[in-house]
Amino acid sequence: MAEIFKHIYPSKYFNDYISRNVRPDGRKFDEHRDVKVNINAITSADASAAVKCGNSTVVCGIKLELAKPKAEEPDTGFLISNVELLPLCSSKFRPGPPSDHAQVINNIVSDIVMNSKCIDLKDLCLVHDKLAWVVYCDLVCLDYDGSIVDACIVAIMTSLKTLLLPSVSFDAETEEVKVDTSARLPLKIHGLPVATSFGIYEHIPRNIVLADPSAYEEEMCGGVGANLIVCWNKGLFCGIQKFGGSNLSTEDEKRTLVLAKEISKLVEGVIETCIKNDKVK
Amino acid sequence: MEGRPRALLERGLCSAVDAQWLMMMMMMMEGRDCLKSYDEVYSGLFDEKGHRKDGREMKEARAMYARGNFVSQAKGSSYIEMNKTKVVCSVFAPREISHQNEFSTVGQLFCEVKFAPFSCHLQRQPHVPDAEEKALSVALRKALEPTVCCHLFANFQIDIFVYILENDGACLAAAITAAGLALANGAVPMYDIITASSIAIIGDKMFIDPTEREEHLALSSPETKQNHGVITMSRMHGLKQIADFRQIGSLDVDCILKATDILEEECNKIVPKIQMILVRYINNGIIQQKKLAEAAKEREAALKIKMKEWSSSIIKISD
Repeated sequence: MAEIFKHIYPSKYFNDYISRNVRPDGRKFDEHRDVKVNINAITSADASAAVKCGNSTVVCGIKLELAKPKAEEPDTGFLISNVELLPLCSSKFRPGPPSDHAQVINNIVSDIVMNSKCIDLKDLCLVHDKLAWVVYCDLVCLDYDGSIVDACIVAIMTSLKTLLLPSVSFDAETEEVKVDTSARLPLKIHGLPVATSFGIYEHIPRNIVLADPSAYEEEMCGGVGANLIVCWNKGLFCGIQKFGGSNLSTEDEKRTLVLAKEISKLVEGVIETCIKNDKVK
Repeated sequence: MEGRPRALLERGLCSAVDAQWLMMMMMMMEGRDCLKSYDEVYSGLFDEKGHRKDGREMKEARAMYARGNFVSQAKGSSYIEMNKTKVVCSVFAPREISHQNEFSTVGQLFCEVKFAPFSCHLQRQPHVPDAEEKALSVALRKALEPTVCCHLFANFQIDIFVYILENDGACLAAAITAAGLALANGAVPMYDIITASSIAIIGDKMFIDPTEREEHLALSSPETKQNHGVITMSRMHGLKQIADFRQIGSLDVDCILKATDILEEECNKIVPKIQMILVRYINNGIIQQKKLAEAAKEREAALKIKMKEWSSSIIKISD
């Protein structure tokens, strides 16, 4: 019965829940979903991580390639991220070239990773003006149930943290390159950005902020994807973005910042534990 | 493999340094296989005891992990893992075919198979479907068409998406089995459960459920006129019918007949697993429904008591 009501009158259905101070999936307004991380599940990739935030599932696979650095920046390598929202993850997406939404999400993810300066692109350069690593990070969404940016950031950071670069020797005279895949060194990571999404629901007397919204909640809050994304990097505030939807009061903004900080600490813990457990194995 | 960069270099399509890089990249990605001769690679498929490289017997299929309800947003979905081969499949509710002028009396299946950019040992080009992906999509559709009751949803189309997270051989067989499970999980009317299995043949050796290496070697034809090829067969267990049979490579008739018998047996072995998964979900559904019905009864009873109170209070007021 409730299922039918949800389909024929979605806004009323959602509003009924919100006026009773609970969300349709039984969470409180500021409660986020559990985060699950699994690393190195895909052996054909150089590093990989599978992340589940509630139902939202993202798999990140890293492939390494060698290339010549750009002429303008002969000392830097490349970090290329690519987010794919597959038609199989939700009925909203159709097969074909990447949608605008996928490109927007990709931009947010690469901005967060680049701006947090967690990776020094100079570390990826092997020989000045001759040889550098290209790190392709392919993020594929297998289940789209909201807050996809959060899952993408956890996936990309976890796989970057577990990435081992093979050692490369370069002969300056013959320009011969030798790659030794048996001797691998980890990539230096200087931080761990964690993003937290929020949805802002227009409600009287005051707008309601929902932490870690599901796909249904995102739809109800208006706009495409989450309305507010707050990013913390190891206790340092590293970015906030607001996309459409309802307006956000200053008190609510402060509250979300504090909440995002708490959540980011928890998520950091999850990632660290996962990597530690894998090393023990 | 090492021929490709060299050919590019000879045609002046890339510089010497680029060719060297390309070659090195390929060697790195492909492993050391590209420099070995056919015989060397062939003997590399076995260990000292004559078993296969992953410790399996020749007749032993990989253990399969399968589950349904993998994608929360889809009507039906499944995930299948056979050691390194990992496949996700989701099925969406039938929808009207867009941009179609004629009325079609039977429903259509739309299948799309995609490889993850990191699924193979070489970097693949994403977004643009390559020939292999297209061939797999068509093969999947052909295998599923006899299984789904297409006449029940005229002028509608069912979308079936398969995503290969990692490819280590037998990915078409895995895709068909996964799609069959996802369709059943999504309650799409079907004639029977469909399962598929694959076999690679090199000479007198038959590799059941081959890995990528075994598949690749069976397809790369040696000089001799010996049997070689890969067969993928999908079968409907209850009806005892073959839904699709796909053979690549040259094989003699005796060999094909023998392989068909083996594949039939292999397909049958998967069926109980799929049945078990489906029965479990139905059981869970029934339990859930009972709970909901009980909760509804309680609410109704509470409502009746409330109604009595109200009606009595209304009578009091009117008095």
